[in-house]
Amino acid sequence: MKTLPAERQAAIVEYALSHSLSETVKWLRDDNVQTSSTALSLFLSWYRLQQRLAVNESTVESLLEDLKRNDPSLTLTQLEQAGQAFFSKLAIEQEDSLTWKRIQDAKLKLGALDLSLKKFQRDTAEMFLKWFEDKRAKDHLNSSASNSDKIEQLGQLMFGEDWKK
Amino acid sequence: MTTEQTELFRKAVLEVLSANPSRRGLPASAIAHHMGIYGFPDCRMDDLLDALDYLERRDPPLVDQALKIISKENKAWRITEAGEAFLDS
Repeated sequence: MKTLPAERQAAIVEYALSHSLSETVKWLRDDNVQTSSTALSLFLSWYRLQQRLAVNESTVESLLEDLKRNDPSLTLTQLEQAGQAFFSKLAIEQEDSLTWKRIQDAKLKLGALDLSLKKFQRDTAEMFLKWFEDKRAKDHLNSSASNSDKIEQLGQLMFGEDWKK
Repeated sequence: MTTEQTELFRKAVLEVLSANPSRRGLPASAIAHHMGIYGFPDCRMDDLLDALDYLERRDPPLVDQALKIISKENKAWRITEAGEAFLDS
């Protein structure tokens, strides 16, 4: 796929944006391009990286144009060194920001998990409390105590301090 | 790494460098970052520098340095025509 014309590559990437890997593989097979999901996935990663680096390159070129305009005494070697330094810095900073974003995304996911764990714990505690109260109520009802004692015990269980008022 | 893993690792380095359409080179840290795509998410810098050194010393070299720089942290690599041909073969 890396040797296909640029327009064809762009079309594949666009199709893959709104379709699954297996759908895209099938679509390509129908168009006589034999590939697998793994190969397609690698191609998509390669293509995106290539696009990003191409943008970086044009950014560096326009920066060098500015540099040359501001300081015409700069030699070709100096400009080449500056160009390489800009290009390297851009690549490193982009990877840093991508890593930072991934860490933030992971933290958000962990936060969501933490929240759902707390909700689960709270729900479970509520369920247990309800079950426990039902069980205590049943125990009181099944006890051999007299009816008035059962009413007294249940009343205390249900209304607590308010029962005696 | 086994012999097969080393081979795959070196090939992955070439794959990352082949994604760079620029004539400028990629620094090792940026190459390492993208090794994950090719199955090496925890790429060690020593292994990467060894692989780059090997690929650069091959005859013909499969990678070269964009500028001749002594400090390894400032070095930047790009794929050669022989490297591209190797990937296509």
